[in-house]
This record gives sequence, C-alpha cells and structure tokens, in this order.
Amino acid sequence: MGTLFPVGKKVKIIARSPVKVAGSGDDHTGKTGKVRGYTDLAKDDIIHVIDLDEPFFVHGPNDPKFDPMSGVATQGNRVDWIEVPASCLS
Amino acid sequence: MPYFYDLEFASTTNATPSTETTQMAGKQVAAGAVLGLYGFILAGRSLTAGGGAGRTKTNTAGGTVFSGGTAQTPTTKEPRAPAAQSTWVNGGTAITAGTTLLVRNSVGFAQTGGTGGLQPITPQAAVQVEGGTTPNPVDIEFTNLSSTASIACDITLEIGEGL
Repeated sequence: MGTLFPVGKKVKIIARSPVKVAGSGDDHTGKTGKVRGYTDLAKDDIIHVIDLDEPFFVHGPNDPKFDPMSGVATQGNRVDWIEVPASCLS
Repeated sequence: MPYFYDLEFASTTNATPSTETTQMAGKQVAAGAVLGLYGFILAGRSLTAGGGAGRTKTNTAGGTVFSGGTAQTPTTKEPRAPAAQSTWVNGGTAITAGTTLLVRNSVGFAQTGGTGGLQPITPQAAVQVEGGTTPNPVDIEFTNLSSTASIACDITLEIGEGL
C-alpha cells in the first residue's frame, strides 16, 4: 500500500508516473499542488488527485493551434488537476 | 438538490468508419457524493450525410478504471457552487478504456448536424455512480462512432453531484 497524503496537503511531484494516469501524458515533475482526493484505492500505489497551483494548457490532436481568422495562437485546453501515484509525491 | 456542472468536448470520430472511440470519461473520488448523468448531447458537423451514435458505458465494480486522457474540469452551472469532486478527462490525449464496461444507452445523431441527446426524466432515472471508499461503478465512459470516418462531433455532458 502506497503512502497516503491527506486531503488538502500541499505536495510536490518528484517523479514521472510509472503508470498511465488521467490528466495529461506529460512529465509533471516539479509541479506543486494540493491533494483533492484519491482514486483507484484498491491499487497498491494509491493514485492522488492533485489540484495544481499553476494550471497549464494543452492542445488536443484536433485542436487548432492558431485562430483561423486572426492567426493568433490559441490557448488550448486548461488543465487544473492531474493524477499522480503516491510514490511520485513528496 | 444536486450541484450541476457541464463539460464540452469537440471530438472527432474514429478514422475507421463505425469504430468506437472513447471520447470522455469520469470517475468519482473516494468518499465523494453520488454522481449522476443528467445530460448527454452530441452534435455532428459534417458535409457528408450519414449516421452516428454516442454511447454511455459504466465500468462495473472490480473492473480496471480507464487511464490516460486530458484532464477537464467541469464548469459549475451556479457560479458560486463548489467545484465538482469527480474527475473528468477528454480524448485530447488518448483514453484507454476500462475493462468491464456495460453499455447503458446509445444516442443517435446525424453527421450533418441533427443533434441527439438524452436527459433522464427524474434525478433517480439518471445513470449514477455511488461514492464511498470504492465508487460503484468505478467509472463512466462515453464513446462515439459514425458511418463516415473522422466526423467532427461536439459532445456535451451535464452532471450533478448529490441527490
């Protein structure tokens, strides 16, 4: 059973997740946030839902990178939270 | 009364005709409130006539939960309502479907723009995810497919937490 960080605790992501989790496929090492809850409690390494201190933005495969009318770069989808296994948190 | 939220995702159906793609998925956190599906709406945007469908699936307790996806935060209907407890993803990053899925409904839409959707007649009629240490079902997933490849299809979900 992985370490359980209490809800509301400030945490820092210290490693890339070895398992595929929801949020985004990128490496989130160095990001900080607050524990909102847990999912997949039955797993050996408890998956934590982390509300990020600083949201980031991603473009989906079908999202336009630029506004077709103005040519201005689009922001993409705002990502407010990610899932992180307990073993990747401190 | 539940707190209500909505999510929208501009999806593209699979590049192979009549092949399902998981476009959105959600799960409740441990010890979260009852989660209900109060709206599932699909809007095709193609010049090619044809048929499409969107399916709601629940992942039976004991199944492996979906993984992947791009995190998406539900928007509150009432601006001062608390943030949703449940966590949702869209197919901006590929979603790997769960393992014990049961189709709960299928909603048709016209590729050229005839919207299809459903809303339960009462809150109790909604597809629901119970909270608790291990939510049951473990997740809820949404797919779509169309008779023509790669159709633009907007998906809107309306959810509520609490009964």
